Amino acid sequence: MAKISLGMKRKATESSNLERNSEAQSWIDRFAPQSKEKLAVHKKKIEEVESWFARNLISKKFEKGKAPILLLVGPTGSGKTTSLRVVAQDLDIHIKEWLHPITQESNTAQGSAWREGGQQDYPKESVVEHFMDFIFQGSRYNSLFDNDSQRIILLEEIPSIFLRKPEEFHEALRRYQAFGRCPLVIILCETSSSREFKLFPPEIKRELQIHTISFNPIANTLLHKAIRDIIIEASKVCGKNFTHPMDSVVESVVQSCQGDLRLAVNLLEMNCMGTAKKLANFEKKKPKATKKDSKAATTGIGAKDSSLYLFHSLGKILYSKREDKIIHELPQHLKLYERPPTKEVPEEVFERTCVSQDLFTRMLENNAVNFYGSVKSASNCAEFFSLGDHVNATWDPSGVLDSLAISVTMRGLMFHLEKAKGKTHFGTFKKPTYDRRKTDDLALQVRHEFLMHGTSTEMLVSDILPYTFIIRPPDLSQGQWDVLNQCVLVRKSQMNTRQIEISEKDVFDEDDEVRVGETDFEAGEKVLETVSGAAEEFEIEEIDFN
Amino acid sequence: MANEVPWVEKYRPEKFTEIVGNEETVARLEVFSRQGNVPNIILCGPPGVGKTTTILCLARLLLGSSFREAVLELNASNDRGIDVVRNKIKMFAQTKVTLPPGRHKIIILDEADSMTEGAQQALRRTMENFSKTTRFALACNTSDKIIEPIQSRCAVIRFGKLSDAQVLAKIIDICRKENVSYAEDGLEALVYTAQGDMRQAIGNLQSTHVGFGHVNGKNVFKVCDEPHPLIIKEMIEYCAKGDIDEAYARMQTLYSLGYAAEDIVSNMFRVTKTNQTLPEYLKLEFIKHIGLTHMTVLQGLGSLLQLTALLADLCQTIEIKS
Repeated sequence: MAKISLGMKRKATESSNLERNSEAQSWIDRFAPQSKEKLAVHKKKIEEVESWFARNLISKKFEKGKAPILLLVGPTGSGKTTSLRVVAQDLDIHIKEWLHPITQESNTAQGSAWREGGQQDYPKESVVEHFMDFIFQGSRYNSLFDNDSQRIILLEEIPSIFLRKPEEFHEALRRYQAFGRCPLVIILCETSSSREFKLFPPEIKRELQIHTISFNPIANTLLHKAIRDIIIEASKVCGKNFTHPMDSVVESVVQSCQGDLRLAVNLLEMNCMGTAKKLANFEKKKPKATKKDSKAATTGIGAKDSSLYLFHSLGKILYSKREDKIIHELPQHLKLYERPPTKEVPEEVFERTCVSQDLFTRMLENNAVNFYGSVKSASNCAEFFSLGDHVNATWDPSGVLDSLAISVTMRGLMFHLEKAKGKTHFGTFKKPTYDRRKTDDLALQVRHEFLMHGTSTEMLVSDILPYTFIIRPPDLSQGQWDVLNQCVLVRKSQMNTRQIEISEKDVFDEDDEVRVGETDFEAGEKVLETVSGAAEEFEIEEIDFN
Repeated sequence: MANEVPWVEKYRPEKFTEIVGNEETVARLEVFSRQGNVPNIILCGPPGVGKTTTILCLARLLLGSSFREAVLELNASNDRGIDVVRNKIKMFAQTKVTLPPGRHKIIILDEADSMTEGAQQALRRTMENFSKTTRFALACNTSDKIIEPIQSRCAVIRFGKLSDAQVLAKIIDICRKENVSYAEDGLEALVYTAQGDMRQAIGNLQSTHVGFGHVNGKNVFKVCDEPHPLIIKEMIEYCAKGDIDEAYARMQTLYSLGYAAEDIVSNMFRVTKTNQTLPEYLKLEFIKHIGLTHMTVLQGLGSLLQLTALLADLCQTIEIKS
């Protein structure tokens, strides 16, 4: 039954090649790269994939019972699947992909085109059985439509049942390695939440010799190039519906998608195809200056779609531009706190971002560091961050506290941020590094690797692990080392530079008493602790597990 | 009158031109509705700004007469676990519907942020495998509840809150069509209580109209049953002057009317936030204290004493500390 679906699939891909440029497809499919040269992925990664194929497929016949397994990981839109397809096409390798079957008794009255898996014949077949059948038979038998080319099995969607029972998945992989006849490629998407990583603990990777290639987010230069290519190609095929995007638009698309090529192409499509009418309007009003035209277009982008706006809003809060004149006067003793009104209303800025207040706070927190003009402003801002966090920590069914918390944080920041003297900040904003779910995952790993009865995770992380790291007991397993390295971050060099930065710009032009402890901006999240080792001094970052 | 359809449904816009607010976004989608080949989209924004309406408009314009068979709409009240995504959505994606070129079947997932992560994961591959025939339109309140792989496959479109003027214009329009007798302060109260949520504004308008026959401020606040913002505004302004006696008198009135402490405090926040006359420093301090008191109230201490303490705190920010 797998064969039937494969046949259909193959047909589909063939026809898609024919009508690649047809109107009906989105840009992602229409302008997918067809050759290695066009891939926006770093050359080294492509070579890595290629050489893995060369080792395991071309140079023929791995040992029996040692079917190779490759794991591709990386963030979304970093070109994992695309690279694999292009390389496979290049080497004339046929890809068979497992698709999740429809598990219900299907309704035949709804004349559907075709169904995979033929579950009408095997209504009671479970997903796991289907999965096992597919990977074994797929590796053994050629497709009817296939002319003896090499093949690999691709797994992008792992049956969710395995997430609950990883042992079963491991068992399946073991069996596959023993009996499979062709390489298995698994593609995993690396997101903050991905539970699928738990399916590949280090010991399984070692046991089954799973080769891992991890993709990075696509570099901005490559992203630029890819986008430019697509714009050129699109302007050829799309005709009059297409409007050439402004350079500033391209720039902000690249900035906002953070190395996610797929997202970039989607945004670009939205921008290029959606503006036809607007530009036509502009043409009618031609007498207006062209400068205004371009300005209108760019501000439109910012106000309108996509994650572009999120970064603008961060800027709006952090730069907190103000009017020239003070309107509301305060009594004499509070003159110190008089400020001209801000140009933006923080609550409105936040509402337009459409993200949860938790994420927005983390974003602010991560990026505010560059804006502290003095230690005093840093400590004031930290106070409001912690207040916001404190308010937010209370459970509130109505959600009023959420908006209160973000409001307090944003207003506190806008009020207390001072511009550093003679220094303007032109950096790009970064995504938050702290992620509660990631730390939760890490906590799980810690418990998994260091099973000590009667110790809390907190104690493990704050006491036992740091000392384990310093003592370096010889009998630690590789897995335990991995967790240790992740958990007890030795940030000696990093810590030093951070402190230097602060002392340079703050301590000298501020008369206030400065204690280093106050400069710990990420108050409440990370507690820095100095532990003196025998020979070296380690800065150990402790992560808050609650 | 009693058997009437809800006005929210009766006056739901059917054309792009009738949609209020977010003009640019809507104009952009309108272009797509003529060209076809809409990418997968995520619409996100606060409630009552027209996300679902926009999607339905788009689908209706794109698909015309085949709207019924080529659209699958699922919202949070439908079962949307992994199985539904696997089966119902996939099966719909596989059905063949003859459509003109550039048109696709549309699957609308309303309130997508309430979908479980597993279900969203399962959606990921379906989205790609059927991209030739089916497009997805998701609506949600905050985009970060949608997992990254899905966001990456869609163009995210943000909807902003509607301005008070936009809500007001629509309400007046409906009042005229329905022959509602109204007073200025009634409309003002409707706009204030809706806070940019069109659905709520129209709903309250209908309730007031059906319940009292005349829309004025008093009746609207009876329907919505919120502490009157004018009293709260006065109270805040007295606090800003440091006049605790006057402020306390108003607090006592509100408390004796039987409003819950939580309602009073959350309305204080709302009023303070939008007040134009408060200096920034006072606003910040006020919101800070209101936040802390709100926490206390939520933890169970909703007594008049706590509210009075809040007033004292507010008055103190302006006082000269000796």
